Amino acid sequence: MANGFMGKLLNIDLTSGRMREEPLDETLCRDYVGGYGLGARLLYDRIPTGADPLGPHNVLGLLTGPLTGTPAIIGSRFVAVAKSPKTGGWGDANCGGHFGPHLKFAGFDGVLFGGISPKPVYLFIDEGKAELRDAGDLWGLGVTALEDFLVKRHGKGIQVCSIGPAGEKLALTACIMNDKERAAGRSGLGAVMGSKRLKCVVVKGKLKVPVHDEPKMKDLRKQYLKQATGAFEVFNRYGTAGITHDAILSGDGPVKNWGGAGTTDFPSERGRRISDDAVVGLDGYKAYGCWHCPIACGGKVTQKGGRFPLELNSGVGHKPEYETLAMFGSNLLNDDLAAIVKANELCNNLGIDTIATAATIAYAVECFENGLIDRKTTGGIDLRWGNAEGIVSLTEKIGRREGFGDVLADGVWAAWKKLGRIGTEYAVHIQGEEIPAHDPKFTPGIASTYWLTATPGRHTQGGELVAGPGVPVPVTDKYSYSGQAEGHHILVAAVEVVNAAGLCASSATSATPSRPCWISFPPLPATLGTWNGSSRPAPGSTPCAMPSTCGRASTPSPATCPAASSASRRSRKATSRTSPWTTAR
Amino acid sequence: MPGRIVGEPPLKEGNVKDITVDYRTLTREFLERLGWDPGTTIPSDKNLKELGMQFLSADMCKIKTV
Repeated sequence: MANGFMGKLLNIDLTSGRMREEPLDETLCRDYVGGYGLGARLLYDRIPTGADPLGPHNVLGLLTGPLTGTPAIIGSRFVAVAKSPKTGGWGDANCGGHFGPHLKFAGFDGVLFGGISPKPVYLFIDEGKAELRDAGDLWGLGVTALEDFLVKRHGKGIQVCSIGPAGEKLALTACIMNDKERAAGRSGLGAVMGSKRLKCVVVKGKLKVPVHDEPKMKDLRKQYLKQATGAFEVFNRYGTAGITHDAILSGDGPVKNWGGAGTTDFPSERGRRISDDAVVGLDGYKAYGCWHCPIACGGKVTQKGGRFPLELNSGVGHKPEYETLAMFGSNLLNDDLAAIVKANELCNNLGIDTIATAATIAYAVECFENGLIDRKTTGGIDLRWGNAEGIVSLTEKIGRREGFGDVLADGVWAAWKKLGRIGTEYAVHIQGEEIPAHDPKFTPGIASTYWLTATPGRHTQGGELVAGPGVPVPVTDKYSYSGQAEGHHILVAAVEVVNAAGLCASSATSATPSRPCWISFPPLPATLGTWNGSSRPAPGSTPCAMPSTCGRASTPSPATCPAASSASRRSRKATSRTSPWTTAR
Repeated sequence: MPGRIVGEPPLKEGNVKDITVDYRTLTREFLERLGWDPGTTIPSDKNLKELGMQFLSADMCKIKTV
């Protein structure tokens, strides 16, 4: 088996409860890298045409990449894949935390679920031994209580990925959660897991991921960390929360359900209240990192008093990140940070996507403000812009599918249909997927990604990110629409490989433009050994030309790091208008 | 494509006022570069062959005829 892989997949037919181990085909790995690359290839054969995404014929995969759980920097990721009930097409959602690496330490590169269990179950994998267990007593639990309970039952050292009540109730805003507050958020895959009556997957194990040259990987890790000193300063201090204020003012962040302008509708002093220093200045702020991540962009905060006390984990919750801050903040004209922290806790515990949830609330608010719906429809909530209590209370109702929340729980498109196709202009989505907090008017390239990617309306598929070492990206004016295809192609290709390899695209693309560095890529050859033994083209070399990924392990020097050119490509106009930070993720 | 996110109509205020994103040109040129049909986004046979993904050809033909 190729290095970087445990060499095994686990297939589970939930209808019969039968399990089958399947050796991972090496050629497939070489052709499709891992993660959603591998997932797309496997599911293409295994899901029949016309399958109901919430029916027995859909297949839900939880897959890792070859760099997941290795000394590669930021190899913390796994991906959930299935046919999406939200778009009716391909669905995948990527997640950090600790589950991905531990799935491999438990002996499997991935788990694939078909069928529908007659009763709620969960999968427990204890270092190579897998069993389905009854989840009758777990069904209905929030994500936090569930993880606490499972630690009591199985002991420390387990990792869990699960759904909350929203996934059980097939809400299309539902996500798959890990480490209590890390989410595989998009594509509505929590509903797929719920449709299979699969509450969670618990993994435990200490197996090692085989790599081609471990000392070299560790050495590379050291080298890159040294080289990257300073590059992640802002990201390390604030996480993505650091860009919120600037993004809102620059036009990158959505304001008033995408209909407003930051400068007039959500001016600087309001933006400051939900951004950078305000977020890390919250009580008890402590950094949080995914598995072995040297950046640790996440954080935990304590919120015990006030109007929105956190009720779980003794009042400690993860800090909201940029998407949550902008979608629950400026997009709803809400500058109450405590309310956003609370909404974030509710979303995580009930297992709903913060982007989809806040976007759907924004649609409802605009309908309410324009008199298309009234308090009778909203269950008494005075659903106005910036009504923090209303937003928090509606978030909980969505997660529990209660009252008006039931109407909104399947996202914007479904809500628009259920409400009688009112306020069409306010229903901002592509093929049912709500738009994340990056505006194509600020980064035109992302319009192509939103429109063309298999998982529409998503910001983590290239289009605005940075490319890897040795990959020249042409410098262009971002507002000249013709002639962008080559650069776009390279950027999309780069992030596809990063995602498939099990790396964190967010961290890998978040160096500041002044200190650009792509630190995740080079360990790939050290993990996998040579990729050139086969007559096939190396994975990712076509159509996504990434020869450096597979053929070279050289250290990029900051001077030649193409991220510099890509950053300048995208900031050519932007830098004169706003802080350079808003051009980097 | 939801009009608001591409400036159809454009915003009258703010840092990205008056901007309308010509996403039609962006997406058309991108698909042309990949060798995919800009109208349907279906990859060409030549493209599939280059990628060693001829197993998709039959399904692509089916889609074309629908």
